[in-house]
Amino acid sequence: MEQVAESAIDDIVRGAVHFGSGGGGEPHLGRQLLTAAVRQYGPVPLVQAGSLAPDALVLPVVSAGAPYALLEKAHGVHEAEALRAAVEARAGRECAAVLPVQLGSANVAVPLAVAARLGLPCLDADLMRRTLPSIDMTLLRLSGHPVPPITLVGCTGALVEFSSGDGAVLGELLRAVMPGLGLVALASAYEVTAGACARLGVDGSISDCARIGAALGAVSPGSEAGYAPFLRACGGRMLCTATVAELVQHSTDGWPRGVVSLNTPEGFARIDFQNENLIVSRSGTVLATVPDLISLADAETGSLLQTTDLALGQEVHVIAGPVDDRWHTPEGLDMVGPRAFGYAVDPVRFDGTGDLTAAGPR
Amino acid sequence: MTTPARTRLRVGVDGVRARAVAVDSGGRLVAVHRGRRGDPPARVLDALFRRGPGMAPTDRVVAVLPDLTLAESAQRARVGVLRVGAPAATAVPPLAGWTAERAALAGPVAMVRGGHEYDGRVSAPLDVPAVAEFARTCAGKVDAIALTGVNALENPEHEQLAAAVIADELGPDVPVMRGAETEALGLLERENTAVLDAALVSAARVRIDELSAAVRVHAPDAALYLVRGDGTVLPSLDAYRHATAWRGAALGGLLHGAARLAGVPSAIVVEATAGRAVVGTTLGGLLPDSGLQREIDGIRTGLRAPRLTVIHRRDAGFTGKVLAAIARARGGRDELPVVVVGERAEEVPDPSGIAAIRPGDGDLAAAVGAAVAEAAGSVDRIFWQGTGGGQDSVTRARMLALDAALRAGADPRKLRETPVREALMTYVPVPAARLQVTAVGPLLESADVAAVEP
Repeated sequence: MEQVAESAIDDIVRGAVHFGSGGGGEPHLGRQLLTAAVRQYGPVPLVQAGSLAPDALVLPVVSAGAPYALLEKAHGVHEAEALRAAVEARAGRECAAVLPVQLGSANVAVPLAVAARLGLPCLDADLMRRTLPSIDMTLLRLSGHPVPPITLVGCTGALVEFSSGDGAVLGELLRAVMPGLGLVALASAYEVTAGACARLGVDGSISDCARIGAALGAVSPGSEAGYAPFLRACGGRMLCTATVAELVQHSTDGWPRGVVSLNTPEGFARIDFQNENLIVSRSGTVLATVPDLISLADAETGSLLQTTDLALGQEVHVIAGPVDDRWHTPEGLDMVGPRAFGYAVDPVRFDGTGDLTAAGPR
Repeated sequence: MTTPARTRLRVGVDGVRARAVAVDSGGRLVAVHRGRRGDPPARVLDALFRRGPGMAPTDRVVAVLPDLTLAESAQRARVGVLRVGAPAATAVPPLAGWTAERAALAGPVAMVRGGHEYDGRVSAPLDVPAVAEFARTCAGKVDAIALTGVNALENPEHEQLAAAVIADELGPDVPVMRGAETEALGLLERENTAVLDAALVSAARVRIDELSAAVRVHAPDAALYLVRGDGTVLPSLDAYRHATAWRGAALGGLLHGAARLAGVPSAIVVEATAGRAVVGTTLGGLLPDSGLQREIDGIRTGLRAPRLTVIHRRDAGFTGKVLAAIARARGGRDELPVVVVGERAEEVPDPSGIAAIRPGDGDLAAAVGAAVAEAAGSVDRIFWQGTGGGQDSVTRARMLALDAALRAGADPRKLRETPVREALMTYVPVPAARLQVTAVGPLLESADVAAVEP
């Protein structure tokens, strides 16, 4: 894929929802935001990391904030320029391209819209290969790259920088300033070059979203068999069809913990979720866990859902899909496995197999 | 002094299927008119009154009107669109995702400084001169204004102030639709709703005035309501300003009316006609939350859409698909009865193990649904829970829903409420939550008003 034109937006944003694993925001806003940018500035060129000069600085971009808050107060046009100026001033040189930090409906649309506005190409890549709730949960950090400096720009001109510190602490600090910024900010982190991205091997993210989104658009809802195009495209599998019986969330010191109870023909199933779906189990057997993707599709429309928006009685398909293998290494699971989210459960892959690397004492 | 009447009639008009009924206070059908599909609602109403000479006093007329669409360009109003909230949200300007053809219905479009944060504090001061300047550029060029503020449900102050500034400039003849008049999460959702309502305001006035004239002739003291998309009532004065709110009334009214005809409080309802079958659910006077938002002419609005499955008769496996839709609508609620109405009701077989109810006057379902429609009020917004904790905000949400139901005409002594649905903030762990709750109840009986001797 060489550029993102208006005709490609629907597929890209729809496909990005798959990588949200039940979170990452509802796709309507992202679609509108990207459409506005492409109509104003034209198609966004996509580039591979290897095609840029290895020492070229890239601009990682992520929309930091609560999806509900973003629905009320979307980003302002000045945030993109302010973020770029802050990052370039600190690095002492210009950015050559925008780099999406994660894949999700808002966080694919926002970096592409920022690239359009700044007149930069966007890397066909991202640093997480899915949605994860914290800016430090990236394959780049997994490879040993430091998270800071982190830069946040609020809509009314506030600029926040964390120039050094441990990744997890910075994640906490970042969330601590969000209320003051009105729960919405445009953010960047990682001082990173095109060469580092090329070595990391994260090309093809936006193209993947487009491909999977097109397959989702080709689903014929009404039967599990109708999802074959999508399952082929994402490499996932249909776990079950169910109706939503209950949805509860409990507030905690950190992210709220939620549980969706599902009625399936084979008995009760449950999904534990925080920001994304994390664990799906049935009658006490864990069927799949984070870091693999767990999505819910509306049985009637075939579209993928945000877990917090589920309605009682709604009929859904539960679909699990694979993620980048690096998340399944011991180090990857330490960062984003079920235990990292506070669940005393061994990781289970989308196809029901365990992670051999996780079998030892932990 | 007036003497209290023994019974009062409620008239329901189904302007889509050309049916009208009069129902007494006990819920009995006392008069029926069956017109021909395509008859204007006012004529259907007129014919009912002519059919029932000596009818007891009618205290309310509730009508299902056909959906208005932008395609009715003859009466399409030109709309000025103003958003209060810059510099926030400017990356998605108003009408951003609309097609060029639809955006052409709008007059001047502007974003001015102002708006609030999620907790109600001012995000940027309102740029009053810019609002006035926008109003002046609209003078003579628009028929209505759509005005939407960032976080205006939490704090409507800037929206109200801007509306007043615009009214000062343009006078009382240019209606100003405010986004916060629609209770829905999402700036774009409320904004789009306000733009559509503004664009349809002239067409709505024509439709309602025709009906209202017929009501005045036969029942000058009756209150006029329209049926909303969810089957509850919308006072006619509000209906002028919210044509989108009565979108889908033909099915919303039908679902409640079919249950009423069957004598059950909740049901899966199937309407089977020559061309299609529609399957929906009514639960205790409300259409259950579907998680779906209503799109109008491809534009996302802030209106909640009920879950309705439409199966076309030309589809292969028609009967099987209808039965599958019924099974899905039950969603595990095995006790729910199934009610089948419509001219082809007998062609829908009983789902396995269930004797479907096929009421005799099934073609009157939507008209009956209108006559007995209740009043509802809903809340769906983000509540800041920082001070007072979650319980305070839950109480506040319930009070707001009760207030909205009372404004729609509900009897305060007979209100029922849904449980409060709470969705916590993801990604940024702060004490704020999206709360959704609906209150519903029968309309307040109009009291006899005695004249005061001066």
